[in-house]
Amino acid sequence: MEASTAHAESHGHMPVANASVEFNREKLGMLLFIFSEVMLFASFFTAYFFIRVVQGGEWMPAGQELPVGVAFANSAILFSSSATMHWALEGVRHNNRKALKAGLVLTILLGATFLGVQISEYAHLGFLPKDSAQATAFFSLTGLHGTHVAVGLIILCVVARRAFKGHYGPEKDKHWGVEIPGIYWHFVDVMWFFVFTSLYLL
Amino acid sequence: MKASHRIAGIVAVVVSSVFLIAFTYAYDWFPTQLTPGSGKIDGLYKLLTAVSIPFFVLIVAFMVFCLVEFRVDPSDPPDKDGEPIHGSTRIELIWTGVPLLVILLLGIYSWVVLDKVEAKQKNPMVINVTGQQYIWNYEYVKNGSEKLGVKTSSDLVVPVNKPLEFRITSLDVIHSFWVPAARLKRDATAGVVTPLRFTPEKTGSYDIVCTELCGVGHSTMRGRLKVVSTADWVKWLKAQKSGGAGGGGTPGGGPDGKQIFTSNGCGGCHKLAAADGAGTTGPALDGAGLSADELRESIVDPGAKIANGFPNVMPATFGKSLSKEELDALVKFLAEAGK
Amino acid sequence: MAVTLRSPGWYRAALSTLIGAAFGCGLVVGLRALFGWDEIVQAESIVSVVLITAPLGFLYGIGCFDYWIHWAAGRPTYVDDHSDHGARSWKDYFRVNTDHKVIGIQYVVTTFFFFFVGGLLAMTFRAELIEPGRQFIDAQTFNALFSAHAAFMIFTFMVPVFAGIANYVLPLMIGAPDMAFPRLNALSFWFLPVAGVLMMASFLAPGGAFATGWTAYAPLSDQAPMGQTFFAVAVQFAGASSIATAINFLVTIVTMRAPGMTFWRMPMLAWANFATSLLVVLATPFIAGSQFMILFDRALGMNFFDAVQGGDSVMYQHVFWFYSHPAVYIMVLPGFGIISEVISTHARKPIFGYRMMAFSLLAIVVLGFSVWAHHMFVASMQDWIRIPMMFTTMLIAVPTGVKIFSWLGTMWRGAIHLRVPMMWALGFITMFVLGGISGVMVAVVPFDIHVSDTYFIVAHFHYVLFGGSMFTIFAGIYHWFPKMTGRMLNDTLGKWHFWLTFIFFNLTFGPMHLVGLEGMPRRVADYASEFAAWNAIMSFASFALGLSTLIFVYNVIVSWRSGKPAESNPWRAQTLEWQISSPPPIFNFDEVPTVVGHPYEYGVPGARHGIFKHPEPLAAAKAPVPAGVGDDD
Repeated sequence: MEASTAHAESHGHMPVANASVEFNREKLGMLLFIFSEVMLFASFFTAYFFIRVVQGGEWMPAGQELPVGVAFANSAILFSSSATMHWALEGVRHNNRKALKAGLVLTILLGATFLGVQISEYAHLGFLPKDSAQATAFFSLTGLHGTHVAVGLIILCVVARRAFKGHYGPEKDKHWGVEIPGIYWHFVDVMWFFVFTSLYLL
Repeated sequence: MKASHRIAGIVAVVVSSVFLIAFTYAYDWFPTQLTPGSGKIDGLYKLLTAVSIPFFVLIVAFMVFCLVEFRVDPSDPPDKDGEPIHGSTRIELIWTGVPLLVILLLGIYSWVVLDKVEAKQKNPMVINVTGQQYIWNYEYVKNGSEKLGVKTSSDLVVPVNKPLEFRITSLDVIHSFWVPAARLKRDATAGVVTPLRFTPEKTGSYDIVCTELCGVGHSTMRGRLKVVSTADWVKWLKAQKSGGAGGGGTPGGGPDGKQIFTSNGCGGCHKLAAADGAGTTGPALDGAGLSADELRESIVDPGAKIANGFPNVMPATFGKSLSKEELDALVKFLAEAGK
Repeated sequence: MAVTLRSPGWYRAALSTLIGAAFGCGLVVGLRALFGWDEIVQAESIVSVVLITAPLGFLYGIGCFDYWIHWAAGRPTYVDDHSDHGARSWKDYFRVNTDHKVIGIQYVVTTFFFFFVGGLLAMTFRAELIEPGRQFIDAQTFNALFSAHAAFMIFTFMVPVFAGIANYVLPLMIGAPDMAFPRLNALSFWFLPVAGVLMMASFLAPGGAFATGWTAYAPLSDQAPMGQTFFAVAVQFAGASSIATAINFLVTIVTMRAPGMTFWRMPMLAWANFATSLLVVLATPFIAGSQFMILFDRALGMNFFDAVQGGDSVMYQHVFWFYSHPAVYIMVLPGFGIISEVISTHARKPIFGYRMMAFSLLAIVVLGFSVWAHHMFVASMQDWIRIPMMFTTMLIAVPTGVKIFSWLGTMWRGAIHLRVPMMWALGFITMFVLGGISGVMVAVVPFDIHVSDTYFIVAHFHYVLFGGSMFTIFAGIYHWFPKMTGRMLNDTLGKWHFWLTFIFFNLTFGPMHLVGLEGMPRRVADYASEFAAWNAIMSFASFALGLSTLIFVYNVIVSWRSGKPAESNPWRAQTLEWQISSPPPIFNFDEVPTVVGHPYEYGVPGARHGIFKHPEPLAAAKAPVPAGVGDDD
């Protein structure tokens, strides 16, 4: 109360905000965004659960079999891209720019391969989302995941471009731009584990 | 705070609570009580209200008291503050614990009431209820062990004091089958069959209302539940069986177009004096002067031509649900009745 | 012209909206042609995509993405000079602005615009219901009117208006110079007019506006005319807006509190928005999911809800209510925060049981996720779910009760100033208690079986959302208007506004309890004649209720232009936002204040909440320095 009023005319600059926790803002924002994304996937998993368990129809219906082998190989490709992503991040942390660039390029290539195989799988399945509720659940979950891969790829391309231009550095504040897209990419991979397991394996 | 104020306050709280509770019990807002369950649910409502009233009255009284007692007045210093009371663990525990206890008791009691209301009865009459935009179809399946096999779409006619078991489903979107007099409703969802049970105790005519938004004609999806004496019901059943066997028949054999019009609920949307149709959702058929071909197309493919000013909402299922003979009879009837 | 088209603004927005629409159109037609699908030009899928790409074009044109595109193109990042900060004239409110105070006002004004749209829709269908039978609108329009009324009120008013108030006040309260992500904050705001315009545009769609209720139950919404697609897409934009804002609030509250501002020293409004934002982040994706399913069903012929194909329409209700029940708390918890501020300030008392107030907010968040199926007691779901959901629902009354009792405790032995915000707060308590009581009643399964989908429910949620949330919004506006505009609102008009609203609110919605019990279903264009008398009363009262808000509009406009200038701290409050000028300086503080005590130490001798340092007045404008926003290299 005693604190007297500050005056408008004395302001020419923005004060530096107090950092009330050590945690990086962008990283916290990304983690919260991922919580939200997990819930979006959860809503489609709910649909999957109701179609497969509550309705209790056959999974998948005759004539709509899923190519488990291809998907298995494709999963391996996607999971290995998490490793290359981590390599890129370790690279920038230790000022190894070759590792940064190679890691990012490899991650993008692996991700793009995954997406390509997924699209070709769609084309060769021989059934469409409208053919059954099971097909609907399959296409919507893999499609939702595929969209996330595509968005991740776009972000990684931007990161790669900046990496090749010489941005980012080993200092603590200089590589959030690699680490945070990396978190998103790992999330996409982990999500695939659940999508793959519940659609193809179970 | 003066002692007289305190007493006046307590008296006001007690008197207004008692008055409101008495009013709740004395005045009945509900429709007729058709079943034993109706009374139980009304009683539950009154109990819930009676328990809630003292809470509400106390809260308001306390607020008014604070306003009167602690409001600053012009004689107070301009920077007067309240007493720095930050809380009291004991009081906070009380107002967490007491409502918790009340809530748990009410919950358990409600559970008991629910079990009683939904209890299965012996040898019920089973009636399949199928919702469809914007009519209810009924199929009398069996009465105890006796097979009935009667279908109707107009009034739901049931004998008094007979336990009924409805099995509710839908042909298209979600509807909800509500009998306000029985205080019971249940959604009708395609692909799911849900039960609803009650035993009507009074003869008479009661509302059946669809309470789940089901499209343009939702507000017209109202029907009647007619509870009649057992003798009347047997008579009604006999008439249905003789008139409706194989989808209805005229003395000369073959189905009766008027009965098809009524039993399929056409009158719920279309005005037609000849068959007591009074709906306004769809175009009136009185004096429509349509040819047989036009009528047939409008029934089988209702979206093909839409009368001006009316929405395209007529179910496209009649082409499948009516047999060829029934369709012919209906078209013939409409062509004559709607001249 | 070429220059205007290259820089962000309304000209570029108009152009890029068109480009976005053309792109979406071409994309769908091109893809369908590429794959050789039968119908190359299919309206439903084109509309679904265009409704997404055209608004994205608009958002690009108005300038929401400029910095990010600059960054993505790999150009060197620059230190933000905050030239887009603050508003110097009214025109600055019509462009992308990263100042949380400008965004807050943009939010509040936009949402109130949609509030009046929603209110007009309601009065229109109340006019139709003035007597049984058909008056002047057909059933399709009637269904569209009440659907749009709810959709506007929920998605473009109730949820975002709280985001608007908190946007303005919250960073000031916790001593932050801005939100954590100012550009994301601007984008969140601009999503909102997009959502509102899409919903209004649906009235122009073939077949009329969406008419399946705000709940859009499948399979009805799968089969509805094209207006439904507008609704489904609009909800995506509104949902994205509230998720982005919630993330922003959470990060701001966690990372940007002033030194000394521990969680247990935060004002209740910050706590309330912390709790609300948790709900938004975790629940909102479910309504996004539910509307995506409807879009997919409609545009791609998927079978989420088609029982014949193995789909499940009860699933829609589970997914929908998993968001939409927590949404009720999203629409009321921030109001709880406002009420705590208002009562404590105007009764000049510390909040009674501060920690229990915070814990009860968190308890409501947790319980809020475990009650969704109480909307489905009569749905075709498994019977056993009902009893546990009944108990969890009734349990929510306990933390809510704690809050009510604590507000009353806060008034005890206070020094109560019955100013207009305080009147709204007390009006809120009485009305919300009624809504809470009917809430416990409808939580009870056997009673709910009778009243669900009747006017009793309509009465219940209007007591919670109008008598509850709306009253808190008015309390908040009357409380912070001096801070936001530097002007005082007219007291007499404020009192008139309160009393007329209070009386006609009760006359409009009170009788709905009774007709509901008697057997009048909701969402009907026509009703049995026995309800005619009550319906006429409700309709006339609703018109008066609508008129009473005009007093508020008049008061706001006149006071904003020429009201009595506000002091920096007209209520002598202790929270930080009142310790700076009204309206606050462009960057909030010269230097972030230090917090040394609790925010509500009224009556405690010598207690202080924040300490402000006063540097020498700066010589001219110095070179801008970074606010630490978003630049990683």
